[in-house]
Amino acid sequence: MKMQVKFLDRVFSFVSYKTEEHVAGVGSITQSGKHVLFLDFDNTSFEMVSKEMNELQKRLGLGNYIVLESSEGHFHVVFFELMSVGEITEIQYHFGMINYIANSLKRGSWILRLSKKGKKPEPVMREFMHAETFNVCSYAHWKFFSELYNISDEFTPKNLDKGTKLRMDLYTTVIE
Amino acid sequence: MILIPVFETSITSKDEERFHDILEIEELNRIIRERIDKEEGFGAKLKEYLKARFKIG
Repeated sequence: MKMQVKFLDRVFSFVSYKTEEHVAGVGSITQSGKHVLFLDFDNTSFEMVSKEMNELQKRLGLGNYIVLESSEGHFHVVFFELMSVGEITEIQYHFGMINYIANSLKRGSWILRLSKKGKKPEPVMREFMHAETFNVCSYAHWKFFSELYNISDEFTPKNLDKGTKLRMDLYTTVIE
Repeated sequence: MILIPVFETSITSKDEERFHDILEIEELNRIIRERIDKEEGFGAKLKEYLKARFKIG
């Protein structure tokens, strides 16, 4: 944080140092070049996210999704369908995720945090919602998240791609 | 009170460090299964794994 004070026609700046730490996350990109849908909701309630995602799932005919709570009032959502960048940004734009779109396009993938960040804990799963779909889904993302959050194999999507690799990111972030 | 002037160019934030790697799902699931400390969980284990891979101290 930087604060400026004007005194005797001189401007004085005070700078408070912040600490940085490494954070690990998973990328949305698949080996086909398409992405799975990651959504990032800030300052909202679980009930609101759950309701909105249920409606989105039905409206677009999407399959399984999970809701993760990344910290109090902050949620991540993962749908496993393969989508183009255009399809994803259209959905994210609908939910007002402008910064998430801008930062992610620059990096070539949407990233969801998996490790702690300062006082924020590792994300925990709040909801898994199953729906049958014949849309092509990402095998690697499904295997990863279902293993991580102990989701039963009986909910495995019917139509999975052949990708077996995932992008994992390690990046520095500023802790206030 | 002593005011210390700090001019614009004197302190800047360190550039963001960013690394990524493409990992096989079987390798990731092996890391998930290796979680020992339940309080730290998978994210801590993954971070440790990636830091070693990128040789970050």
